[in-house]
Amino acid sequence: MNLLQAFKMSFKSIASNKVRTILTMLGIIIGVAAVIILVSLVQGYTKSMVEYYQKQGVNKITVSAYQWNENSISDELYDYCLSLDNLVLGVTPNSQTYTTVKYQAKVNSDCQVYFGSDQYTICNNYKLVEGRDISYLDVQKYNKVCVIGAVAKENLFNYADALGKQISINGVPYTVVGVYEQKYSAGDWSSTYYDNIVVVPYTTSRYLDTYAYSNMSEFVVKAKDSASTTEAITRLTGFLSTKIDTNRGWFDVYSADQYIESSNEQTRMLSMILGGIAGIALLVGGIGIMNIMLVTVTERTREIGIRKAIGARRRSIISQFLIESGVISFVGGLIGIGTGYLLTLVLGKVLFDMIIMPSFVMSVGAAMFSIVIGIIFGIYPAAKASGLQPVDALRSE
Amino acid sequence: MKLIEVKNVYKIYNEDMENEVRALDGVSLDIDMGEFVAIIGSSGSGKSTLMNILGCLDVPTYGEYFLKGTEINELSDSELSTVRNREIGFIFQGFNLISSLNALENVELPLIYRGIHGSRRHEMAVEALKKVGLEKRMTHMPSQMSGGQQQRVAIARAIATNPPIIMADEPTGNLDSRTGEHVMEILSGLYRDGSTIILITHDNEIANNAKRRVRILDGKIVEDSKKEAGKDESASGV
Repeated sequence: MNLLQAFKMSFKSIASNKVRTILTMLGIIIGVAAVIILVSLVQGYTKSMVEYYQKQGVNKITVSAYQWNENSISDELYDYCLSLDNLVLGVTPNSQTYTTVKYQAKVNSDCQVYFGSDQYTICNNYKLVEGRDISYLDVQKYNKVCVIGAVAKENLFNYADALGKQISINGVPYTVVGVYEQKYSAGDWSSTYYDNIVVVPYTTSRYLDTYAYSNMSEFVVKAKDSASTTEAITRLTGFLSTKIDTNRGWFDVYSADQYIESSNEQTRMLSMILGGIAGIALLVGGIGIMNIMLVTVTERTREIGIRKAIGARRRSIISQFLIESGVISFVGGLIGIGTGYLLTLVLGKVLFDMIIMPSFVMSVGAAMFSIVIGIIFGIYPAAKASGLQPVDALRSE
Repeated sequence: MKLIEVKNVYKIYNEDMENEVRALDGVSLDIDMGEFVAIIGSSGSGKSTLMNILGCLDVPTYGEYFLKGTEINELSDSELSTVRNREIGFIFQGFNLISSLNALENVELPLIYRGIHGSRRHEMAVEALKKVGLEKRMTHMPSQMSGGQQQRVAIARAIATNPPIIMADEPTGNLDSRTGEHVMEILSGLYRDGSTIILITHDNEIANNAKRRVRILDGKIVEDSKKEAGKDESASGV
């Protein structure tokens, strides 16, 4: 008996009991779909987190330093970073305040005002679309100038020209000298935080928020590359430990790169755990196949007897049953992949507002795995069927 | 030529236990090529056990069975399958068709296991169905056919591979007398065409279709018309 014939026979017997076949497949379908959905969603989420951090800027070191009853360390830190010019591209304070920003009668609510240096743009990964950055002179001379984010510009000026216009920040007039390019896509929640901003020279914070001015404790240092990041963190930590008395203050130097790494590690763990749980579902599906195949063998004892009586060898019976269980699990696997893709797309959109595509390799792997499951769990029933003595099998009813 | 040679065969269940059953108790039997033999016995006489052993569906506890000179006891499970496929066509009381296959597919089954493919297999199966007069019902499922038709499909399946031996176990047992007669006519026709027919029955009238009658009782052969004819001859010679 050749393989094609064995396949035909298996299809015939699968098709003769459709409802049962579909119910048997359901275990595999759910298992495969669950693996694909869970792993894809975790991977998609990880990817979006990495992208988010990359937009925030890589090689970005966040420095927090505060000492009670002392002036802010901002000027000293600024100077120190300039001395590290082989490692560091820029440094800026990163303090902020919520305040009312107006242009004529238009009020921009939810706008964040950042106190930055002339290197704010490079440190926080913004790009100018028009005008210029805040200059070193602006910082030194307490110039009331500002650079505004894309959403802030839209809220205040709509499509009109913003450059050279005076806006009012907490009642203090500032001149717009530059506008940033939109960083996050419109409607994205990040956009309301990072595109609706106004950056002013940090020295002018004395006009706006005296507390923020004297307590400027958040800084961003932009390193040249990842090696420089590590080196700069070491240097900055050394520098701050000489400047800050930890009995009267505190400091912290960290890079989001490290955070990305640890968060990657966490999501990898999460993906393994969830994938493992889904794998258990797949295993249960396989046991379901074995269960049904055993029932089938018992039900078809007489048929097996007839087949053996008219000349079926053990091998023919084994291959018929193995192909049957393999086909059930493979078709189940294919449907599971389809379901998995569909649900991944739907859930990705609903939960994370992202288009997440499961990886091709994982899908092929899942299909292969489902065949293997079918065959492994088909072996015992097939062996049982083929071992029946024809005379005993024919006697059963 | 001796087609079947059974020498002192025993089939014993639960041997040496209190409930020991001797289904066959020292049976010896020779069947030549082209014979039409009826094995007659009441239920429980051991006739079905004998047929299972003759049909290579079962092996004897003791004794030897040669089919075309081959010792059957020494064959493996797969070799027995091959022997059944090539040498023997079975017709059962309960038809034993596979319910999920139509008439043609049932008849093709032994040809599939024989390794015959494609149009040749189809032709052979159609040929066999023509011999039993069912060429118009090839696509019918067993459930759509009468008992007589099902038994004819079973006969077609038995003869599809052109085996030298046809074994029929109470082939008319589930049929009314008229369809039963029709089935017996087909078997007689096969005998005339040269097949060896072994018919198992409890019914003397059905057995009268056969040229030779072997009666079995309590696992022993108590009457064999061929041997008696031989005795008569020798007796008359004296």
